Amino acid sequence: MREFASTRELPGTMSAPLDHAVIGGGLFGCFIAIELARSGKRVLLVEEKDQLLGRASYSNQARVHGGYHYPRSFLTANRTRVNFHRFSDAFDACVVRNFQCYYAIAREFSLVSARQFQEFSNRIGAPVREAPAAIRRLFDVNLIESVFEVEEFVFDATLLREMLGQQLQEAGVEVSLGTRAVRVQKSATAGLDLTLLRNEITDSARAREVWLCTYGELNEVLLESGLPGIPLNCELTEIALVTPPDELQDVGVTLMDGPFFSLMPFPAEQTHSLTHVRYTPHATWRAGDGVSEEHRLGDFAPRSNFRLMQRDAARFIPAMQRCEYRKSLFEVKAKLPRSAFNDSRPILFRRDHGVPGLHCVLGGKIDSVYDIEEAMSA
Amino acid sequence: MTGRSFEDQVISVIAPLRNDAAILRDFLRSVSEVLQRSFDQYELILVDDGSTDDTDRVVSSELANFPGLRYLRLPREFGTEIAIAAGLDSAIGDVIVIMEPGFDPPALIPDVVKLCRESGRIVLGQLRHPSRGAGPLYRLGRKAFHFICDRVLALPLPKNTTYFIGLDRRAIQQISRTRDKKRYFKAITFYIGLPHVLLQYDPVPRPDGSAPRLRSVMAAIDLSLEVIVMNSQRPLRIVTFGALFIGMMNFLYFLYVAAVYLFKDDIAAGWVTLSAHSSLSFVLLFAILAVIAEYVGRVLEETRSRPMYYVVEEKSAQQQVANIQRKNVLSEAIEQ
Repeated sequence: MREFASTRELPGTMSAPLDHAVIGGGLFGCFIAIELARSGKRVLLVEEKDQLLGRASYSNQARVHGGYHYPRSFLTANRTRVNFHRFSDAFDACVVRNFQCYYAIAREFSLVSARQFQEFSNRIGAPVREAPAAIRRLFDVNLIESVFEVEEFVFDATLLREMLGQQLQEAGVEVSLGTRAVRVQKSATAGLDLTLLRNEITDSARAREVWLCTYGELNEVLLESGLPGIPLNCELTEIALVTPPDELQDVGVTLMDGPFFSLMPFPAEQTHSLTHVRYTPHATWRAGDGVSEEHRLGDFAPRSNFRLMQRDAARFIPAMQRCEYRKSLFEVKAKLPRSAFNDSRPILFRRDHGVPGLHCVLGGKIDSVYDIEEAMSA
Repeated sequence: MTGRSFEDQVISVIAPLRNDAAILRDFLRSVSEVLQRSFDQYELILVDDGSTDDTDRVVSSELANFPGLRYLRLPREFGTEIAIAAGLDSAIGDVIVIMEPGFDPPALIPDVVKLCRESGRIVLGQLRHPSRGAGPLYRLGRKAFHFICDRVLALPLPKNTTYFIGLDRRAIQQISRTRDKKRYFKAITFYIGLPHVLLQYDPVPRPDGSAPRLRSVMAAIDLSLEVIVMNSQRPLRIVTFGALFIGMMNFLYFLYVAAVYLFKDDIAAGWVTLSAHSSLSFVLLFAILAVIAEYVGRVLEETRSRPMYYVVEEKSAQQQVANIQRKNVLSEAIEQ
């Protein structure tokens, strides 16, 4: 990865324009930049933070979805299963497999029954079998219908960051960290002009095509550029990092299928993450309503919902009473309005949004990164 | 109680709703105010027992305004007891307070929590003036019910208690195991053997000025019969003894008839005796059948393994920012 000593050295500034500029150094931005550079293009990757994969690509459950999550959508589940294998092969070194994952089905308030879950898993070819007695004993039989042993992994976000950094370098992508893309405009000659802000110094770059991969902040750049925004719902989410009791040290537990919790290993910090459908979202708003993210986060002064998550989890797994809180990761998540009603999380890909050559990409889940590959080549 | 006690405790309040839209906003305001002042973390679960007014709409419009508010909607009327059971199933609190909107005083919630915590028992609200608003027939019926429960059925239920109840997680764990579809909370706690403590109070007037809702006499009789039939085998036992006695009498009568046949020569027509005997037997026979049918009905109810209730939707409050055009209050949000 090449670093630039000063903004003067930003490529595309003086010399010949770049082929592509990718804005946003999350997983999707890195992935797209690498793909483009490998096809021989000259690519610049711009990231506002001082490191790659520092935002939503880091602050999430780190789950490599095995498809078990979508018993109500066979297509999504099937697709996820395919991506599961691709992702865990391609990022083999970052994928953590040294734990056992379990899915428990709640008796009340669950949208699937144990039987439906099992049949559905079989249909998508995902391994599923009854959990051993030692695990089943951890659950309250009055509240849990059944517990299944499944094949699902998590990724180590720190290792993933290193791996992608290396791939970017090998592919020859120019990476500019700590650089904020302010706006994108149609160039007077050809291509697009990019206004950048680095160390409070404004600069510019020119590229034939620009890929906007800023997730929750997609509309900030679009609106600043005088382009139509994309209807997005944002959500302030909390991932609690916890130390589970010994008996849950080497397991991941997901409770299906309703307003329930999930306890998964979080290898990047050698701990576990605790999330809850009801308590992880702290607030929702419409993206691009003019309130800046910093301002918004300050407004909410997020206060941990850990205790609520833990209380609910302890109802189903009494040992969770001994779960210790370490800290919370707060992050803004973006969702397309239509996926508010199901959790399919499609990828948004808009070619030539507003101006020719400006493409908007909004990833759903980490492991659906391969869907973008197909969309790009299409 | 002053200041915020129970710092690390989560408090749940469960309120069963039945066509209470008119008083709902007042109720939410007063309960939230008390909860916010007294507790660090809490939730307020409204269980809508198949309301036919616009409860649903009112709650949906208020979800954003009250943090910690949750709403469970049952598709039809299942009864207060089952609505409460549904609330208990999804409450996460360390201490849970059940209360009826427009009747139980929100201001006493901290007292219930405190008493529950300190005594480690179930707190049952008891009316200080139980006769207020109750007619003579109702009072008589209540006396009769408690007399039967105490003396005949050995089911000493606390008197004049309401649905203003406080209980801790341990008690819930036990109560949720009882999946009876005909439920009576107090009888269940008695059956499990959970100790209780009484808290005397006066109900609050309904904010819309209407009279507090008491059960109708018919509904009370209905509930009394359910409680007795569900919680005691004694009536069946009494019937058994009665049936045995009548059987014995019939047998004696048979011996008498046999003796008359053997030792008397001039046997009269005997029409009176015969018809009296048979009519008496039939009356008893049908009484027995009625009771058995009642029990068989309950057995049937319990053996049909249908869920105790159905929930058609669940919503919960999220902190919202001021300028949102489209509200997204559904909580099915994150990748779990």
